[in-house]
Amino acid sequence: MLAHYVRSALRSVARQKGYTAINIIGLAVGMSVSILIFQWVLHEISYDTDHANYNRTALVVWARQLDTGQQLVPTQQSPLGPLLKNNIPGIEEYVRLQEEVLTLAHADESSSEAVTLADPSILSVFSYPLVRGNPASVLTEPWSIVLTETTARKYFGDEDPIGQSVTVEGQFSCQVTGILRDIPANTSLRFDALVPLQVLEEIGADLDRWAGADYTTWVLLSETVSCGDASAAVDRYCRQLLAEQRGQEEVSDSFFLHPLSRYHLYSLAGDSGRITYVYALSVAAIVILAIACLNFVNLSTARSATRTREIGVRKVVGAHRTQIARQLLTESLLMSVVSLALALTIAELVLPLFNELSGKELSFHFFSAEFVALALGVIVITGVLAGFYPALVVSSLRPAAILRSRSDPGRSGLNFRRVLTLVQFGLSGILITASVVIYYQLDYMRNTDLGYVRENVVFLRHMGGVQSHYAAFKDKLLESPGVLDVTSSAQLITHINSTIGPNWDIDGKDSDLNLEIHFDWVSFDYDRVFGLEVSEGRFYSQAFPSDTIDGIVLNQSAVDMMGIDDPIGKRFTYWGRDRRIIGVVKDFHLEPLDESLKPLALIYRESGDRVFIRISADDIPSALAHIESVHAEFQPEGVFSYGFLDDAYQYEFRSESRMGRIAASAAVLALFVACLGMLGLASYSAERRTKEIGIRRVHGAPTGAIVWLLSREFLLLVGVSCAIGYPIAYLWARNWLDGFAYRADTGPLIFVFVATVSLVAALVSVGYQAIKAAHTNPVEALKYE
Amino acid sequence: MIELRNIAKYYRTGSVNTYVLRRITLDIREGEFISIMGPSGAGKSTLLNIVGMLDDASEGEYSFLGEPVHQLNEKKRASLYKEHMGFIFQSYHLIDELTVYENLETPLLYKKIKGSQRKSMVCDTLDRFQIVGKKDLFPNQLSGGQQQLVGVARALIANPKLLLADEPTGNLHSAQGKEIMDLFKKLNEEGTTIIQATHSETNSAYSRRIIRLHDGWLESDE
Ligand SMILES: Nc1ncnc2c1ncn2[C@@H]1O[C@H](COP(=O)(O)OP(=O)(O)O)[C@@H](O)[C@H]1O
Ligand SMILES: [Mg+2]
Repeated sequence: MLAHYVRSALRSVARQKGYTAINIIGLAVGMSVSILIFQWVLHEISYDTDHANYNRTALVVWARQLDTGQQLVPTQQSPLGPLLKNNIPGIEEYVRLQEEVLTLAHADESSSEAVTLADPSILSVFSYPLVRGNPASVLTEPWSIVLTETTARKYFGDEDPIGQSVTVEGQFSCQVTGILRDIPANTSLRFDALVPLQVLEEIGADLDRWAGADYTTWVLLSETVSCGDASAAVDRYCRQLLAEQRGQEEVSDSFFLHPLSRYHLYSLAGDSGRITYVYALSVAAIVILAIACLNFVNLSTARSATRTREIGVRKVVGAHRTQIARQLLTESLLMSVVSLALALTIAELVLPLFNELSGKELSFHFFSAEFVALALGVIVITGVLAGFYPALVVSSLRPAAILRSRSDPGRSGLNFRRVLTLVQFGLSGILITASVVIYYQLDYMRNTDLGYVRENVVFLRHMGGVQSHYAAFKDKLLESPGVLDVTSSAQLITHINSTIGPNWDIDGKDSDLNLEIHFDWVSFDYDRVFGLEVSEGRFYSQAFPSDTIDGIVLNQSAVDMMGIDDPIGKRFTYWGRDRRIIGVVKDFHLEPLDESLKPLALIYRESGDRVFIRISADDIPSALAHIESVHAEFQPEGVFSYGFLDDAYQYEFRSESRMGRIAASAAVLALFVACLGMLGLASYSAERRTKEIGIRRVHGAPTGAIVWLLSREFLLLVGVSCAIGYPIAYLWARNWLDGFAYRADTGPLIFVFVATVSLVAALVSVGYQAIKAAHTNPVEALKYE
Repeated sequence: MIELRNIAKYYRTGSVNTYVLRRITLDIREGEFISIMGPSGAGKSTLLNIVGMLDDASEGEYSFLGEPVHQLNEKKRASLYKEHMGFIFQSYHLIDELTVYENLETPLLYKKIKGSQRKSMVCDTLDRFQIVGKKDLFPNQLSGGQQQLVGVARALIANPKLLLADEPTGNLHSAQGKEIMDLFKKLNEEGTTIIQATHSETNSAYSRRIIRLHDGWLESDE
């Protein structure tokens, strides 16, 4: 019997090739999109799960209460880690990390690598398996280095690296003591090489001293303690410590543990982060899958409606309704299986494209339990839904009714299909709206004026030895007409997050003011390179030699918040150093996504870690060539690596951009699937009404009238779906945008745009059928009736 | 075999009931060959459909082989139908997707007859109707007469006691029609009860009893 079902299914599918293709392609496209997105989601939520201590590792976070708001600091002072281990019973171990980008060299090979300085416990707290070396000893000697397999191969080829030396930053020699297995992509803490943190003591740092909070500090909790309890214990202990250090009764700052299991997906504040993308894209995937399934159900019911005669005949020759139902189910299951196979093929084929879009390197695990469950679920749900409704409706009709030639079988389930179409277009409309809103918002953020000029500013990634010859280096650079201004600073202007701390003073300081003043070390011409406007006084100037000795430049917010009237010449003291205010610059944003304006001190230093060069837009290649040759002159062995500030800035939005592109592709595909469905329905409708159209034509109806007759219902449906989708999309957009400091203006134009796109797409898919139907010879059309 | 008591059928049009059959009372014995005659719209098909359980009567009682059909549930009725009846239509109603062979096989499949037996029954039938050469063709590759032959073959394949035919020759030219009628006559002689709806006097001449319908009324029974 099953053989018979399959055989007649194949025959009827083959007889209606067009419909079958539309139906299968629609479902396959929908499935492949959601397969890809679910792979992405699975990858996202798998982050860091390879670490054996995944559930009991956490980061120590310092929540500082400042007058400008709360600041979450993920790094701590170096003595804190050991103290936590020794004083809090639930904490078994700690690791302090410093992530650096350093130049490594061996023989001819020299390039910059991500090097993490870490306590030896990194290899026991986290799971970074060694392929060579003993985890207990590879990081015990200060001048040792552990490379990943790839890094080792890069520098040593087929040689045995163990015991060989690697030159770090052109001056230190480290001995390779171990090789790490390459770190999987779904790991948050990644590096090319590990160096013991202890090495810092060799070059003059004192890890027992309470100084700069520069160390990412992770703790391993014992199995018996919950993260919440440990977090509370850490908070109590650290607050007490801080209060003692500051000589205060109590501090308003607090501390907490951010678990490794939340590290990748949640921001430190806990409420946002990549998890929002995970949710958003999961919803998008489900919506597309839903659209594709609805489409499938829709077309299947439309198709079975044209087959009522066959079903009637089957009943007449003795089929029971359960047998009819089984046949229809077999058919729709068969189609959904074929769709799945096609979907897997499509997904496999577009995977490289998707990886490029998402910035991931996903590969398929078709036979994982989740995957099989998901695939079976989709097949059964769509298959059964698609087969069940017609099975129920059609098979319950009395054969005499079905076989009456005058009855119009295509009408059965018409309202059901209308509702499905409505839902499909509503959903795809919402998706499109969402991606347009995302696009607008991204575009807005990327192009926001932050108060300084990002364009045509080149920065060198590695200073190397240039730093000690900065003045000569700068003069040489300025020799080319393509180089306009040169400056140096310690941080990128896009992220100024160092602060002076509470150690500042002015005359008549309000003692209750807990103001965290940000600062950066800057050199001459910083204002010119970044186009900063000096509103009062002047910037550091070589014409006034005393500027660099006792001058200070503040920004407008600093002056306002400290309450300094008439600032020029007034005293500003930081870290016990007295300075006179020589200039005030207009405010600019210290972080790209922070709308608040923060107080800032720009402190002079001859040169910092970074060089910024404003070049002329007229001839960028020759300016770059000049910079490279000057760099080579000063730094013959160094690696020349530069970037454009604006690119670096745009790079910050890469995950948002990727999200946006994935969402946009998903939305387009959703609309495509919905349109395929509409195309299918339109052709059923045209077929069903062949006779009517023929009669109308015989009576002289013009083509336009026929096209309108066939299209109006669909256009009306799309119109209604837009009207229903609009408020939903609007509410979502408002909610989503609320999370942003800078908000793009999303007027009703977006919705007009989306409605137009949907209508045009629908018109195109229906129009073809309608025009074709309108042009058929009426005699042809009536002959078969 | 068949007892109809005060059978009526009406359709609701707006708020009024339009009667298509009115108080039909009729007994049919096994082995009869009956023609139902009447102008188009008289209710012939409706009556045949009710007798063939493809449709339900609005009023009245119907018993088939002693079973009260009007009281049976769908499942019981379907099995009664499957067991004892074959139906032939004016427009053949073959399944377009299936070959001649498969069309003949379908009723047997629904009766859950085993593979080998099914095969021999189909082959016998193909032989008997001399359509062996056509067994792999699809309905649209056959002429009307050939299609109706397959329709008849399909209706008879499971040896029904009762053959119902709704204008079986309506779409055929006279030579083809005569062939079908001769076949009916032979079947009836072999013991099959036949009821056919027709408005052709030629066809009704083959039968031994003629029932005339007019506007849903049973006009005469001779
Ligand atoms: N589903 C229906 N709804 C309304 N009227 C119907 C329906 N089916 C049949 N009729 C009416 O019943 C009458 C008898 O039809 P039918 O039995 O097909 O007549 P015949 O076969 O004698 O030509 C016709 O007038 C027809 O219009
Ligand atoms: Mg009739």
